[in-house]
Amino acid sequence: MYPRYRIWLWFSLLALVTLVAGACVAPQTTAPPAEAPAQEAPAAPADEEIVLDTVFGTEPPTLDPALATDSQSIWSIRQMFVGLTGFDEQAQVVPSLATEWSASEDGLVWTYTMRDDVHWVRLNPDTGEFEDLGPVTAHDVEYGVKRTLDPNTASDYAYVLYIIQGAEEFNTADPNAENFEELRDAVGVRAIDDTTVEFTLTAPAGYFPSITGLWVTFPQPQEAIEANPDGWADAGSIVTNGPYTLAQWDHGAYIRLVKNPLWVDADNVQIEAIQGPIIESASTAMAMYEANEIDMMADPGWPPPLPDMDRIKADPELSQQLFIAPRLCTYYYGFVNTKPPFDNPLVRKAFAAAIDRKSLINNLTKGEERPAHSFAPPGVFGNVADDMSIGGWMVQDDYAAQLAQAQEWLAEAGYPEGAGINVTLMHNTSEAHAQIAQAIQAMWAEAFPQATVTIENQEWQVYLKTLVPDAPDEEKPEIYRLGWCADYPDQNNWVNEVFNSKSGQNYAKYNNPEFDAVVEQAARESDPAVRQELYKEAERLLIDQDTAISPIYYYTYVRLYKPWLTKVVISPVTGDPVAEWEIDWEAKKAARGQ
Amino acid sequence: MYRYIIRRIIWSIPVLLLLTFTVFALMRIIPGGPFDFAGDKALPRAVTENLERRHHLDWPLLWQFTSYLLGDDVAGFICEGMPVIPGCDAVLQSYQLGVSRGLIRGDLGISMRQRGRSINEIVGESFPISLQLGILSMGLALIIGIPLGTLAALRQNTWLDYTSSFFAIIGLSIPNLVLGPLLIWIFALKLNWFPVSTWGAKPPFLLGFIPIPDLKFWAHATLPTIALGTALSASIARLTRASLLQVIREDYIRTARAKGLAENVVVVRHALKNSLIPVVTILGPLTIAVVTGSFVTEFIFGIPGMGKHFITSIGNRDYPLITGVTVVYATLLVVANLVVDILYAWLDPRIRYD
Repeated sequence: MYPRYRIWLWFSLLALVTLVAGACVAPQTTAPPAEAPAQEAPAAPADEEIVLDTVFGTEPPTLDPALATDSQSIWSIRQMFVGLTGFDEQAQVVPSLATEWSASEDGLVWTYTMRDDVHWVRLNPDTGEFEDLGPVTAHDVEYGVKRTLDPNTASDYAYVLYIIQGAEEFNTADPNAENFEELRDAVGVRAIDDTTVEFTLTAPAGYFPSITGLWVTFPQPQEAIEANPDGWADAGSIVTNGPYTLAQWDHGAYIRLVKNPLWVDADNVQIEAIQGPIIESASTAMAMYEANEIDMMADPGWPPPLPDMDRIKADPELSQQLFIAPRLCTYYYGFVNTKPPFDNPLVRKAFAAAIDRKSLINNLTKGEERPAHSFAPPGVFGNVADDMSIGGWMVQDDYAAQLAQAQEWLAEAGYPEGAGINVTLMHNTSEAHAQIAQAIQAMWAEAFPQATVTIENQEWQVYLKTLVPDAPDEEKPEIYRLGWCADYPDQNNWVNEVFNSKSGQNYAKYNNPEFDAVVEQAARESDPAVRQELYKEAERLLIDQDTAISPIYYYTYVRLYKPWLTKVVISPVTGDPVAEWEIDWEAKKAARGQ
Repeated sequence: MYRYIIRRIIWSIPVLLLLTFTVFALMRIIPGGPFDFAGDKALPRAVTENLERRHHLDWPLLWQFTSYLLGDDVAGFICEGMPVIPGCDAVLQSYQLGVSRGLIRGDLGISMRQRGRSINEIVGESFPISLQLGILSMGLALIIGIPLGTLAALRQNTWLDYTSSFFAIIGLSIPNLVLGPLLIWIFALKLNWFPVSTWGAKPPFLLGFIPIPDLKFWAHATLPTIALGTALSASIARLTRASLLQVIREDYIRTARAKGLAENVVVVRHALKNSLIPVVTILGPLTIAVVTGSFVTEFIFGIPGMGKHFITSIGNRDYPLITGVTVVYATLLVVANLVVDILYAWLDPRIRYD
């Protein structure tokens, strides 16, 4: 063919392909495809299987318990793995793999007795066969803890295990060092026999049972990991010990977990699969929810988008599906305690008091959050969220009185009406944080008309670099925003790990030796009643006396569940235990027109 | 012509190298590293050091680049031979821990944030899907854009011209961020014709990128293709119209008409072909931009393409991922530009390169 006609041939072909495409699409107009997920699993017909359809908000960076740090990964890991302890709906530590545990008199040696009927399982996604790899033993716990601590594993969260004897030395050792194996052996975790594991700690830690509920302490399948160190947590290789296991993971696209028939309580697990695409847009997920393509707007995907909240609350159906529950996180503004004028506690108190938290929640965040007056939220052991004698002055019913008090404090500090104050409020780049900052800036402008508060924002990683305690003060803002969520529900994870003057998280650069002594004593104390009192004192020092930070609100989980999710058990710590949930399958099918 | 192509390919090597190094260095200059924080929690220095050692972030920049480009073994080999070279002490301590085989051997490295995954895997999975969406959108854009632009030019200042210009401007002015959700709202939620999101095909693909074009594929592909293709078709229509208007006033068109050629022959064979040169010029870079950068459309429709890696890898400071996707993008751009140049010569015989 003469070459110059080729381009027209190509155009004609392209047009033809599009026409064919159009023809293919046409029948779609009468057959809504809503019920079909993008990628079906190879298992039994989906409509015969009781499935929880959801979305995953991001690709989980890993499903390896030693390496997970983000909520997506941890949510999935907690469906597939169990540890020695767990947490119930009230965030209390409960038995899981361990049936009981005890501490030596000096509180340094903790012994856990494990059940022997939980087995490791591997699913072959091609054949659908579940392979029983034998019982989970104390040796798997020992291996798991040591693997997490091994510097070659390079676990980001290994440091939470530093309370275990020898853990820090091993984790920070040079892998080429001659005594490396000795350091590994010296880590204070030991399987006494198949069902007994013993931990030796560096200090008595009353909160230790919470630590053994963390994913980084979970037993890990040595054989599977050593056979495939980098890829063992992928579908087909992964070996798990919980109610679900991984059947399919199309990276970046789709995840499917299926019920583990070998799980000890499998007979009581009604939902046979949890599956969904990875959708990074909350609005798209919301559209899928409204089209009945997914059953919930909750972890592991998205809460309902903030701009939709008014509509959801006004809608007779959606409002019935809205579910709000407490969450172990606090949103707060920190003051850099070393930067004038915020080196003066009275200035900090004044700024903390001049925030109308209720108005902020009602008009802006709209998630029925609870105004905060302490660092740790309700649900964390040792919290004082219900004790208005601490920080009650920042959440008074009569905001006018609170405001007058704030103005009085600032005048007393030598800045009447804020004269002479010129400070920066910084937040990380986000629409929601910007809106909150603007609202609080306006509140401060009204309270202290002569003060100047400038808002700045920085990209997240840059922001954190600006705030770390050892960064130069001149580059820091006077006021910053942050949130803190529980790794484990104990005040040690809050007041001690964040605001101890030696902590790397102490962005406020709060330094009060009395406070340090109290939180360190509480960490060593094993009597719960004494610990409770010590943490109350710590909060009093942090909030009432020194006002190192200004708590704004305790977070809530804001979620939407379809009415056919008949039994939803929410756990504020562990990610939600789907194995305990139930679906009215007929109702779901009916709603989807099946 | 062949000499020209070979010369262009050889020239593209230093360009790609320089670009790779620039991205490589720039990412490391931005404050904040991939392992400084887990979420919002600062990690102890020892933990960060463990992680950095594994990825050679404790090496001097040039040695990091050598390892990225040539592999750990080559960096180690050089340093073992000449341990006095500055920075070799760090290399000799930990090159055996590393995993880089080197870009030159086709290894784009290991992701720092997606544990245990290689950039080759990540790109290999997401790129074909972006390519599918890109090809469909470009196809739609050409099919709408060129005829619409041609009609507008031939019927200049008539209702046809005004209407097509109106639609072109609408198409250009509505961003994907608005059009995407609007299409979802109308066609997925209200009319229930199409699924809300996700992509209807997954690997393995024919020839690495051609999906099975079944009903499910088209159901999922229609809305994102329209969302992405509309704005492109508007640009192409505007450009075709402007270019054709210029060409049909040229002397040789007048000559062709004077010779008594039929109007459609004049337009199609003589005018349109030449007026497509500027269109083709933007087509190469536009195609690559669509294929690799349709982040917004992929985001809105939950499509597991490559666009998101450009954005998320920067926020995560996933150095190898951002460098890897940039190298892939740059290579495609170089190839696309080469193809465009070759197409020029074919479209206009006066353009010759050798």
